[in-house]
Amino acid sequence: MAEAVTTGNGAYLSVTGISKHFAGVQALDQAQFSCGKGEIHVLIGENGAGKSTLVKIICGVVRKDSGAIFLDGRPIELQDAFDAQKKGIAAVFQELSLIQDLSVAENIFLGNEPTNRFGRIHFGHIYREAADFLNRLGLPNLHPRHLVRDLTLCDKQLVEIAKAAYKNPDVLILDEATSALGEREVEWLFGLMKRLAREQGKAVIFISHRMDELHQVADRATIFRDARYIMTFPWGELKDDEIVEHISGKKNARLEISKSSGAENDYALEVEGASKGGVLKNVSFRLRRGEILGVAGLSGHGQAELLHSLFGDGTLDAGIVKRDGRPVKLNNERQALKNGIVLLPEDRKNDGLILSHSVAMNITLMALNKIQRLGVLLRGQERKGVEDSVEQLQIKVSDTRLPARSLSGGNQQKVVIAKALLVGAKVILMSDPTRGIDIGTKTEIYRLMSELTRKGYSILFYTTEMTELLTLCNRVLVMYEGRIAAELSGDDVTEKNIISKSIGIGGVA
Amino acid sequence: MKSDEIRIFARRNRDVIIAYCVLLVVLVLFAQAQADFFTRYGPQSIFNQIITLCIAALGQTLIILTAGIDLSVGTLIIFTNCVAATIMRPIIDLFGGSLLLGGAVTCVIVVLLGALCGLFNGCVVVYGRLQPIIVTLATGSIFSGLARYVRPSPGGDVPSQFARFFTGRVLEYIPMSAIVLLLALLLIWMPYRGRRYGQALYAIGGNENAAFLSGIKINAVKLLAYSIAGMCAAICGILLTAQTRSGDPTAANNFTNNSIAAAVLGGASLAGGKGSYIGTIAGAMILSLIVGLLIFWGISSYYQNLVQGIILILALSVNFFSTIIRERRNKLSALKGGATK
Repeated sequence: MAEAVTTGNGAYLSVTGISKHFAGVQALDQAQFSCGKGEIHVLIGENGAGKSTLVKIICGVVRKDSGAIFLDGRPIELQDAFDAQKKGIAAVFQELSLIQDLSVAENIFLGNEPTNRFGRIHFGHIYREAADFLNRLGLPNLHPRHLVRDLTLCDKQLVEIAKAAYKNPDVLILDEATSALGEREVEWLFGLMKRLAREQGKAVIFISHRMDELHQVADRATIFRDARYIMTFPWGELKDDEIVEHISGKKNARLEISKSSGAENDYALEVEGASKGGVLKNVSFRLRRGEILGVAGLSGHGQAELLHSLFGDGTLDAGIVKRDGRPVKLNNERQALKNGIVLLPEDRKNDGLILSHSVAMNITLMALNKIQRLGVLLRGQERKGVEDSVEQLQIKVSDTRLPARSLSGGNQQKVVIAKALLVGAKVILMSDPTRGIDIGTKTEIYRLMSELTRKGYSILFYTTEMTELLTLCNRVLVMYEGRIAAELSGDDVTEKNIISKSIGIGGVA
Repeated sequence: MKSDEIRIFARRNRDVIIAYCVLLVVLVLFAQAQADFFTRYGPQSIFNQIITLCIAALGQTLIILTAGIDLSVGTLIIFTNCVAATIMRPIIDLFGGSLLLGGAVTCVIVVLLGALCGLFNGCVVVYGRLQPIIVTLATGSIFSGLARYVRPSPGGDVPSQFARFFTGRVLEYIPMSAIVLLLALLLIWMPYRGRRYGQALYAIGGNENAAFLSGIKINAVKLLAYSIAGMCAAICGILLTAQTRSGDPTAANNFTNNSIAAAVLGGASLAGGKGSYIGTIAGAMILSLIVGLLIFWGISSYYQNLVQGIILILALSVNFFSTIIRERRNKLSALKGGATK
């Protein structure tokens, strides 16, 4: 079924027979694909399928063990990332690669600063040029002098994209560049990608786990599974089900999850008139027991702040929070945990896990109080808690003593969930729990969430993915500029409604 | 637009601005305590007090910017001090008793030696892929041992002219120490300020992986930083030789701790990628002048470290307090907003 990829045939960039080992693990085995000028080529596959390794090889960040890369029909050897850039290959990587304490403009120009005869950098020129470039790119809201540290995650991602685009590459690679963006920014990015490909004849390579995004931009797609090339096909030739089938390698049952709407008039968590700084304004809502309540809106409109302030990130300036009908104080995370509220942070790798520690230590980290007597850890209880979690959540790990770093993104997220469950909190605040996770594991996490609600857990669920809201939530809060712009429920939970409310159109429903 | 830029500038350089405010207070207190503050002896005495720590801290700042730390600076200063005190007389004799030529050659040799020691630190860090804190802890011991090898007992022969040259004044009013400080700043500014190497230094400390992805030659940048830091330590050693007119391998000094403290006071982050040379100078001046103030106020020098520690903590708390004040203000405005509704 593999379609032959030839080196000529109009393809600007093509790779054949690429293999790569990492410490005994085969990350890529005879991988191949090609991308022509003016084409948007998407790479799809589960996490660990080898897509990221492949693009890192194309960018000169990782050396290949074998295989060949052809650029414009000629074979090339890449020494390092700088070498790849000189050959016109630029990438936006999954992990943000900005310098926090340099300004937006300095980051865009990093490594390419214009200098005079004596090697002095033209800072005036850098700032003028950056402002001009950001304007042309359609990002006039980014101030070139602002420190990257002060930007939101979404804006940082935009700077990252601008930095790659500024190099004016012939091949632009976007590795999950949309995972931190809101809908409006994604739309902007797609506009940019299409402009680069269609009007300027660049080759654009795009990696994303969101099927709806792929539908909007893909010309051709290549599927990888278990480090191997599976197939390349013109987009539109395969149906979604078929694509999922090729990605997972097995027939996946269609996602059938009943929405958890919870019990009427039985509220696990009530928030009245919560305000904080300029980011939360008079927020009120009620979370039913056993409900998955969605929180929607463009990124940076107060959703993260709402979740974090319910988990004790500073006190609210005003407002009341009730847990099971009783008013509670949530001044710090210990009070939140004591009241049975736990947060799954959006930044899994930094806030959710201690990557170098073992899976077992991560799972029991928050629940140490429960498995100790007189300050001594009870190893038996600890082991039992860990084993139960691994079984209940089906965490794929050969030995719980392995570091959390060794797990795939999806399994890491399961460890974070296990950790939260073990402390016994019944209200779970989830912030984008499926970010950067492959489709198979996503489905498992949806099932798990649904199962939890049946066991009496209540979930406040913030996600940047529309389909998740539509599949899992019977009620959705749409946030806009720190306020709840609308509370949609039942048949009103539609993509159109959510989008229009999140960009501030129409009155409150 | 213009006020916007000023705001961003202030935000970006807040730590440096705070450091200079503190320095201003210290200087005012100094002016009150020291009788001849406003004569030509005033600046001379001040610069002689601050110069060694300033230069040691400048070198330390370079390494801290790369997210490293140099624990060997204190003993490297002692080592270069011992070498300078030992080789100076033979070299002067070699040049037929010419103090100027002999002194200059000695200085050049010692500075090159410092650069070499720094380069050694850098090589072990870069090619050995070891943590700077461990590497410099070890090389620090090595430098200390070398100092004892060169000068088994304190002493040495340093001409008084050499001492007077470095601690005196030029053209009646300008302290030589101030000129040396300026030269040291130039030494650091030449490769870094407004140049790609400078940006690379911040980038490596901020996010080494990102710097690599931007095509920055990380090893070269680090090696240069460690070498220049070594040169700074050597200059400091030469000045110490001038001030004490001897080399003492057994001397204990606070340069390692104080140079780190000075960099942090000046706004540097030990996590790397944040800090400035100008800020470090303010930090070093504050820490040095405090010692002078204590002497003026008749407080035992035993309490030096205590006071320096308190100042460091206070300066670092400014960040914390400003956050609290901002939260209070937000809360108040939210309450008021609620009342008018």
